[in-house]
Amino acid sequence: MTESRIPEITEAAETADEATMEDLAQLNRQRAGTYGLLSRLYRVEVDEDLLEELRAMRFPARTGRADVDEGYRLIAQYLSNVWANSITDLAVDYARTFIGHGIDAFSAAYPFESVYTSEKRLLMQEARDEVLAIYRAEGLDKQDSWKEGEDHIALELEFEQILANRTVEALERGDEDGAIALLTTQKNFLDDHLAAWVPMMTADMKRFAGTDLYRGLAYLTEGFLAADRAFLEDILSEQE
Amino acid sequence: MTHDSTKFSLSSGEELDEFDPLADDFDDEGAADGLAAMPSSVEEALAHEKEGGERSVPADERPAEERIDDLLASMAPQRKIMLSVLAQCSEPRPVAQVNALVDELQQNNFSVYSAANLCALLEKAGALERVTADGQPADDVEAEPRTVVVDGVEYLEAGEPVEICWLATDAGRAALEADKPLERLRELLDRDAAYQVIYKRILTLCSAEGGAKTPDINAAVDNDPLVQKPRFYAPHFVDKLEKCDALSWQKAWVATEVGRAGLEMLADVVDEHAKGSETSEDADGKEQA
Repeated sequence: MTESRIPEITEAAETADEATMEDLAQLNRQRAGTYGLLSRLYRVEVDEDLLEELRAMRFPARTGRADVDEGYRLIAQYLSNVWANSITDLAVDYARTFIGHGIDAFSAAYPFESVYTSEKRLLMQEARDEVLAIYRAEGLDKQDSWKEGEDHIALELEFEQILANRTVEALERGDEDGAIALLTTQKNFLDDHLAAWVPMMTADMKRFAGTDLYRGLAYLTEGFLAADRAFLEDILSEQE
Repeated sequence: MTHDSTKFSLSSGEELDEFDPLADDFDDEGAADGLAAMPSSVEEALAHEKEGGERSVPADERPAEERIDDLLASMAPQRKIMLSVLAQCSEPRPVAQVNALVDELQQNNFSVYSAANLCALLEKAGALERVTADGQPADDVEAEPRTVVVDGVEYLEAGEPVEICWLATDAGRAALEADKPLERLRELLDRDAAYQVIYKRILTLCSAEGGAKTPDINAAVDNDPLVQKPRFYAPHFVDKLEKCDALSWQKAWVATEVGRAGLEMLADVVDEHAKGSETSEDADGKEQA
């Protein structure tokens, strides 16, 4: 068993008050780690390496948030019962959960902000243009290998991961103002984008997912985003 | 060409003549009501939710025997592999072993179906079930995560999974027993009695060490007077033999045990054209001088 652990963001919200620069950097490393893991789970199907990595992780049992606890419990339950064909099962469930088989726009938990924020549930709508502009404002653009819209949940989560990592770098070089600016961007992005549509998507995930891994991911995502929002509000209100 | 516009729901000319957008009595509110009455996507979503959310696919309630027959018929190219899986699973067989068997059977077959796909289809049809090594249904045995405490904090770790095996169900075993390739071959040879000599020629070629390449079989069959009218080509006969499990593709067509048994059935058939046909074309199908 490796020592990799899932960070406890809910505890982070509680301890933000007394956080020193190093503590804050550590919390942001953990935030980046969780955003990175969530982003990976949404980006593509689980492969052998990731499954192995997940099985070696420790998940906090009591974070103080029921949805996060339920998410970790379901994921740990799934990982305790993997078998030789789990990769195939997960690939099937990924397709069932995020792609679906219908044409009525209500047949899956579509992982795109545009679907949940446009009247006709269409892809590549205003939300995509907005997030693309924000990525570019931060000097980011999608890689050529990415063939989906930029408002895919994996990219929105990765954006938060990158900014959390930049916050760590700013804190390490003692640039407190830079760190605050980055945290403010993360909070605004969370408020305006992720928090505005992901709870609807995770509600759909709970309906469509057939495995505990993706059901757990739904609970974990909504719980983590809510906890992270509280953390960012806390930390930024201290600075005002 | 004329067009019949009577099927279209267009307003009549008279109605349009009466319409005055500037008139006081133009029903603006009605138009607004009309828009308001259009269902928004949110309302559609709520309605969809109310109807039961996810559209459920009706469960196939037919008996397992029927579902298995359907599966084997609709997946004809994988039939032999699926039956081999059932044969292997007369007792609980670890999933990894079954996967290895299928990979071996499919090594010369570019199939989009993995071992996991085929076993999932067999399970869905009721031919296989997931069990533990001692035969207990796997769904009844669920490993729980372990709870560990590190630095006073409680964590969950993945528990050790129970080894899962595949086991053929009664219906699966019945399907396996009902499969009699030798009888199918006998029926084929009776039904196609006029072409017994062709079948014999193909089986003879494929019984040789290393089997027979397709161009060699084509060369031996395609110029035979028997297949000129109606016109048949060698793959027609190869396909029929393969469906009876008399031939298998191993980078060449190779006669199986069933195929060799078929040759014995055809022992009395005299093949007068065998040699001439074999030498009438070269491997590329070009006529020799």
